[in-house]
Amino acid sequence: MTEEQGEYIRFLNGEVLVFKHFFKEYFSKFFAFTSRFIDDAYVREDIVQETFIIVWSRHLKMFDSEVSLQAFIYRTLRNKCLDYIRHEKIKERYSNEFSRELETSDYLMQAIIDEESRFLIHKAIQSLTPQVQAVIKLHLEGKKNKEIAEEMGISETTVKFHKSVAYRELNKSLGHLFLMVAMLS
Amino acid sequence: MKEISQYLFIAKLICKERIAGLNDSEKKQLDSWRNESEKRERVFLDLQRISTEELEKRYDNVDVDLKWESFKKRQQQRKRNIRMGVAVAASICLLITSGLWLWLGTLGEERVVLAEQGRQNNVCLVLSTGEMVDISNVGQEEVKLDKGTKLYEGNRLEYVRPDSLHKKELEFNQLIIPKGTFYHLVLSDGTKVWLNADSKIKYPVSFGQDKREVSLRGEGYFEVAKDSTRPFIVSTDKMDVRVLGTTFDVNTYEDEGKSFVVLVEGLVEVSAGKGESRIITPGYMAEVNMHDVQAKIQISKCDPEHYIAWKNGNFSFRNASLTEILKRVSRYYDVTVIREQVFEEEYYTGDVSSDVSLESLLAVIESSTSVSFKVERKIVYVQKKRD
Repeated sequence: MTEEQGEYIRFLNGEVLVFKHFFKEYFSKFFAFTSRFIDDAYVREDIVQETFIIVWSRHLKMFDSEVSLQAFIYRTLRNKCLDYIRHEKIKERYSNEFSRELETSDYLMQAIIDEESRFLIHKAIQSLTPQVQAVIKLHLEGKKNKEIAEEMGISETTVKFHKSVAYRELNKSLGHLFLMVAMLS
Repeated sequence: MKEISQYLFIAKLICKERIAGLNDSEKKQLDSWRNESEKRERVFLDLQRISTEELEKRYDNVDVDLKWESFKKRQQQRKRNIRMGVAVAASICLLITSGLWLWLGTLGEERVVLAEQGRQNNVCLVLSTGEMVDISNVGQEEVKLDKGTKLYEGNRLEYVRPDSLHKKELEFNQLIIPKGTFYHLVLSDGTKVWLNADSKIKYPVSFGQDKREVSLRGEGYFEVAKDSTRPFIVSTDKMDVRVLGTTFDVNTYEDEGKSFVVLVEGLVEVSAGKGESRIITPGYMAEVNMHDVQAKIQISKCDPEHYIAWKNGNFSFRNASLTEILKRVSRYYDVTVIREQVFEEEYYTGDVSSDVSLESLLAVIESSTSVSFKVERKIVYVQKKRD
């Protein structure tokens, strides 16, 4: 494989990603995801790096789309984490009940949705202006408009206005999600 | 993998719900997902109170530039490891092959060789009339061919009608080689073509006066007869090769994802895409990615011997991936390869005579890799070795 080919990830649907950007954008997300299985940060970093190496070498498989690549990485990370844990269990560093829960598909479901949602929310907030960000942060903590207005020393109308700005921006960047209904069935 | 794609979609819905609100159809989808089980509802509720400070700690404390640097180091190391692995694999392959020969010598009748497997498939020739004839069994029965065509035993077809110098419509023949068979073709101008398994070539029974053009799918090795007045052109799906008396190999198997030309002697011009063309010299190869119409022609140095080994009945692998090797095995032995698990790619270098049986070849590969094979009725199952 030449250097040039290594710089891109090509998908069967015709899309192309710059590998370096993909790595930098998602490293922290996948690194955080592994903490749901393993504590040791060195081991986790190793697992995430190795998984990116697999994606980079890519002789294994062409991916249909970015979603299937993300899914592949989540699945690979989980398998590598479980492999490590099984190995460690022999040394009795993990209790049986805990590791058994980690292996369930419900745990995987919870881990991925929770991680992915948090990461998406984090990215979405960062794209907003500081004023709007401040309102949304309080909203995410579960506060009502009135409480937000008091805390920030602004009127409730202003709070509503900031929220409407956020809705508009995020609707633009997240798009309408009904197009993907087919995937759910 | 499908369920994970679904999780990713649900996460998008939740993210949108939390900060931008959902429209009716989105809300319906999220609700019906939540109602399915208590565990799902729990996941949703856990995300109702989020501290953004924690999110910042979670995602912004990683120095991704530093991580990228260590990733690049790992990449370099990996490349070195592959090369070291290759040197070891090569010596193993060679040793085992010679060992096999001794062993096969005594058990000759038991081996299923390539040629025998080939007989089960038929080589077809499409005549200028459009009629398709089976030319696998020479001598048993008389087959009607176009004028000036000679069929020989040992998979060989020759066209001897002199090229017509009058302007008239060309008559075309098409030769279809199945998996598990090789074929040798001599065209009317004296150009020799070796066709690899699973290939197709279309050519005029005799060439016209201004150019010699054939079209190819699969792989062919060409020894083009010198004729400076009529260029010889091999056209393929993704690129054209234009030559004036030379020896080269064109490979356009679709499942390999790229088309390439390897030049042994002479000079050729390769053109692809929107009018891009490059000239290559002996010992170099030109490559075009099949999945990308925008891709440029890439020129690189290569060892031609390796690429044309198949012509002399050998497998020659140079830093070839397991995927690549299995594709070739499938083509030469006419078997289907099924991977029972996903595994990491490995790379090998080695030479093996393709005269050996399928089982012996697989044994050689097995001995120096982390996979094992099981053969059942023309299907090869690939598994990870248990350690």
